Amino acid sequence: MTDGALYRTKIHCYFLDQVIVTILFILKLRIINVVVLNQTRVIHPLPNEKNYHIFYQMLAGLSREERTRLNLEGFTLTNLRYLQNGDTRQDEQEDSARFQAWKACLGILGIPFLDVVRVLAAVLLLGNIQFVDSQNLEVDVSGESELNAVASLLGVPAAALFRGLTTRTHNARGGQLVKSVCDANMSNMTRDSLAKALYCRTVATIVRRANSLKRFFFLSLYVFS
Amino acid sequence: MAALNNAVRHATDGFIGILDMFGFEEPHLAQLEHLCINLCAETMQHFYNTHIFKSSVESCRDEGIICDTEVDYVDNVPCIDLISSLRTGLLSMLDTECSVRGNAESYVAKIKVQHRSSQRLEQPFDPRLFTIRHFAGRVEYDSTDFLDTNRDVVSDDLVSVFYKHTCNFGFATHLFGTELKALYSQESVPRGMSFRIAPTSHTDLLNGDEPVSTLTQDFHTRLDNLLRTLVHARPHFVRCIRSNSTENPGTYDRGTVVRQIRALQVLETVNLMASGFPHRMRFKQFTSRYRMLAPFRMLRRCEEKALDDCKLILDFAMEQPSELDSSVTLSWAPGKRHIFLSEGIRQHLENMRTNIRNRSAVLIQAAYRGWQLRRLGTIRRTRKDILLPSSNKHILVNPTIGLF
Repeated sequence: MTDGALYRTKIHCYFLDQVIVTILFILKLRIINVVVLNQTRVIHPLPNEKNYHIFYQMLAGLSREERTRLNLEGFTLTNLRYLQNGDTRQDEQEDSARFQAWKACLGILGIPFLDVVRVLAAVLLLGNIQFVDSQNLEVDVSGESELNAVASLLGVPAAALFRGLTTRTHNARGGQLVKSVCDANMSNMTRDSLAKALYCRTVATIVRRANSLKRFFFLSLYVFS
Repeated sequence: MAALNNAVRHATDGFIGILDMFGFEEPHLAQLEHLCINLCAETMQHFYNTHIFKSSVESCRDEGIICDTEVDYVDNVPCIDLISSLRTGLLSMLDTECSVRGNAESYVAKIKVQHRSSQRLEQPFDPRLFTIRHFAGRVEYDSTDFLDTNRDVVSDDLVSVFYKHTCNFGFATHLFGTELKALYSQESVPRGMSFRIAPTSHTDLLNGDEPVSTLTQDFHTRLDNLLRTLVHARPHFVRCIRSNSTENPGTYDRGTVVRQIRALQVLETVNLMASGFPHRMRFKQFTSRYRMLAPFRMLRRCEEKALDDCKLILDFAMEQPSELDSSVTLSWAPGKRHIFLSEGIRQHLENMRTNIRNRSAVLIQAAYRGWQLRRLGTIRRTRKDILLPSSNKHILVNPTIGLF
């Protein structure tokens, strides 16, 4: 593309809210997107607020077959814990259309849609895994099917995921490694940190890919708002 | 959009940046991220104040110009210092509290003591809550999760689950790529390490077993970088005002709008633009841009007489009727090194400049096309003269018309 093409191209400005700072640099023919996320919003949107829009769009836009494959059958805005406490109003048609547009974007970027959607589904289902303290000083999980679903989506054994969420290795004095079992509260917090990590790292991967393209590509970051 | 397209047309080097950021946030019980967002909003407001008001007033004063507009703007440096100053700011104190493995209550108690005389921090009654008076309103913060959010860590027990030996989903392994590489560089896994939840661009992930930086430190670094970029650029500001605070479409809440207009100092900006001298150019810069507005012969066009040329150009410009509304003042004042212009006269000069350039372009094209056609006409006439003698003697041939 020549310089001439640059200013004949329409520059679309999408308004991004709920992102702390987004700086978009148009460097001659390249756009470098820098995104800083509000991580807490993934796990705890405020009562009048929405979680990141992609989740709503995904739930509206996935086909029945896709939903089943992603273990999201039977889940809606009102029974997913990471979404239910926020604003649950939705224009399903609009969200579905936006989801298709986003899917097309991923195609242009060369990022496998199924991979991303698997991670996003895992994030949503993580919220429905609840750890509770059990009598023998260990933790029990309420929402075992969700735990299995998340593990399968993330390609890990369910037992390994359970251990990862509920045990902690400490570096005791003398260089000894000690493993301890977390209580329910700590395990739930670890679960939340996994959800945050999966989401923001996925966004970072997509942004990095967009920035590496030589073409004039304005990432529709709207979905990440 | 017009400013953007104009900038793109003339850009040869450098970049055009669009900064779209969330403005001020005042949720019911704000979290650490909201404190960061609001610090960002305060910082941008300060940048705006400095760029629009302060520099304008100061440069007028420096060059001996008397500006009759009283520019009264609110300086929000105290609030920015409260949050972000080194060592004693709220964020620094939070980092300290994290490093000593403290808790929310002791954090709030400490900031209460440190900032007891601050006008911006309202003394909390609840041991975990505190309120800050920002430029755009009062916000109550709940510090319960501040420390955990700031540390922003995930254990290696969890990260190790995504290693390729246990995970067959390549994308997920890739998400933790950097951390897994560091983790499996030694045999003993897991070993009590903590990694940042947010992917960092640091080459060093860890300082011993702890991550190199906290959430607020990263945020602060990014904010500083942003400011450094903005300071060297020519910013254009776009102010977005929301019509109501409940996200209802088609509803206009006067109170909400007025509050924002007051906080963003829109009225003060308009006053400054209307009658102050927000623009200044060096004499030489001015003459080279606007010299076409005055008759060529009258311009001196030398370094020492640059100010005279400026005055000449402006006199001619003032004689022309402006396309602007009659309420807009056209005023200017000469300083020591710069010529100071009101927004009105700058627009007037720009309009005249564009008109003259367009007229000149048309004139040049017309002259060239005329010349080209006349040249072609001459060739045609020459050929006709050769053919004519064999035709009827009575026909009068008029060579200039080129008929027959």
